[in-house]
Amino acid sequence: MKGSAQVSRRNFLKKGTLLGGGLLISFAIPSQVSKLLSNIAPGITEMNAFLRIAEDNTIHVIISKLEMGQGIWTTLPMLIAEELDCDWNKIKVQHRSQGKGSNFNEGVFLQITGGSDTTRSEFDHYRMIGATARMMLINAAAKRFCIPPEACETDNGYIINGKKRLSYGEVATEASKLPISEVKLREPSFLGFSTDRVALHTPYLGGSFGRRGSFNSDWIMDAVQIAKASGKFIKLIWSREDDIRGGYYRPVYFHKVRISIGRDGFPLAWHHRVVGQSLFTNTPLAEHIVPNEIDYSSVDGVNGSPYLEAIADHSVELHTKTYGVPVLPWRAVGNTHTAFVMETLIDELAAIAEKDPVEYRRVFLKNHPRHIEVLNLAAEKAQWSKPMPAGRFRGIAVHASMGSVVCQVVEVSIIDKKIHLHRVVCVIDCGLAVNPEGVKAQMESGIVYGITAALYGEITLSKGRVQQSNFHDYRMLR
Amino acid sequence: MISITINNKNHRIDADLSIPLLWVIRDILGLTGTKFGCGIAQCGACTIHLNGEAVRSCITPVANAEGKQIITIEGLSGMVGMSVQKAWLTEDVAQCGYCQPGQIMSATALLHKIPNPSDTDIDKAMSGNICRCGTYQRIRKAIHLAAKLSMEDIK
Repeated sequence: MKGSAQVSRRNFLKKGTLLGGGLLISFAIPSQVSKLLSNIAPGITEMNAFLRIAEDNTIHVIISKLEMGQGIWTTLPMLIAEELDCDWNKIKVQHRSQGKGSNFNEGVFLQITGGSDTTRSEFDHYRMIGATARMMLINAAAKRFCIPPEACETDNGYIINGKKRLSYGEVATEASKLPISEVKLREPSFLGFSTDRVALHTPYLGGSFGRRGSFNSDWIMDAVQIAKASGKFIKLIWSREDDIRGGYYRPVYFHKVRISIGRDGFPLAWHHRVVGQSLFTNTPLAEHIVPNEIDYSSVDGVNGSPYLEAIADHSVELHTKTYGVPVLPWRAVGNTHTAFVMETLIDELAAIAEKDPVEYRRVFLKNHPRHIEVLNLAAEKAQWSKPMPAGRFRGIAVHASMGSVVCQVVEVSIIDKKIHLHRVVCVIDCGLAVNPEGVKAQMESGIVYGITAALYGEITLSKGRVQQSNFHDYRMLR
Repeated sequence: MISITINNKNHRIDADLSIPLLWVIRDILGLTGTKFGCGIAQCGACTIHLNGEAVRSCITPVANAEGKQIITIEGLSGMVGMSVQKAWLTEDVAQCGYCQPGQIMSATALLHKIPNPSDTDIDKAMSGNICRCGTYQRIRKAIHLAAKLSMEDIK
């Protein structure tokens, strides 16, 4: 649970010594319900709550809320016990409204329990009281031990320094004479302990390809939970089956494009509709990538296309759907589907216009010198002007993304219904290549990955289960 | 108890005889250069040499290794082994690197059998090793270079 707004400690904590010794901390709590009522009837005071630690180690929690079977007598003391690090069996709970502590002469008192509000409104208050009491007990014990408080630990109702132990009860009276301690509440975490006890070592990553772009680092959660449950040091390696059925996939997209073609063979109007899943909605990046509910990564590459810029009458629509399949980015994210759709369409348009695909692109992209440059160089290196031998085919594509413009020519043949890949020519304008070998390696890598996706890479679902399981049915280019 | 020889060193291992050699190498002996990739001999990341043959340790029961010479990436030596390592560095083959120990073990086994392999020899011998980063072009180049280096050494 997320803690409520920061509570000012000084506003609500008071301490005192009990008649028979021990530590008493009282706290007046402004809950949501009483705040509402105090607006209507100003001047009323809410019932206080108390934490009392007696010299015999009993811990009384006198709660400000009423138990009526909803379990608040358990939940609120749990919040204290968690922070106080005390023996749960020593806790006694009672209502505030009994005995001498009540003063009915000071006007109207409120004791309101309702609105499903208690755990939410009291979460930080009761934790704060437990944490404060623990710190004061530590301070008292540290004085007795003549050591700094940082050298002390607590365990289930005891303050410990090496072999020396003092029970909370033994130092409760001394603690009551100390000033109220400054404490900082721990952030609630799935770890079950505070994050300041966590050291994170970041190893060399190994391949990612998008799967590690996860915002909840599910594999770390896995490892931590297994380590906690087993009580052992662990190294977690997922099986390949767990990886392939591991719950996150590249989003599905569907493009529907209507184009009207002019007499010169070039589009007069272009209506582009993209339907698919959003990668970044409900992520910490949503604010930047999904402004106005449009996930930029869903249309990146159609939106801003130099072809569309050249067509006065064009429109791009995005329909974002949610399906049961969780998604994560895949290499190059949106451009992997938009580049495919755009370049396939340009080829179809060139074919309808009975024009050479390179020549058609040259005219279309005439105002984009970087596109023209990579297009021309790739065509030259691939010897585009020379006809292909019989049975051999080639295709060309040019696309800009992430600041680079890339053109590739692929040569294939089909033998016995199998696609044979003979050659890929790749030209990139990435601006200044800081490490040209690195750029080359990345481009080769992208080509292999893209071909793998084109030939294999299919994930199918049946009755909610991924049917593929390992590299025999989820194949890679070898 | 089973007695195995890894990288010319004898080890007595207290393990179930059916346990894959990969986990004996990694978890019991702590030699973590050999990687787990698929567990079903489909990717080659776990490739080691068993009596000089490139085998997939993820499906090889430890019992099958008794009395045989096991070489892992950590134990790669000799002229061919050194040439392969040098070539891999010269060609800057690795990207993420996860599959490379297996690639290197397959390449070394190939060069022991065919000192000067053709592209076809390489493609055939290396087809059991997947590289998701797609370093195949540089792997092939490095194998040619390693062949050249080890033959120069012989001369």
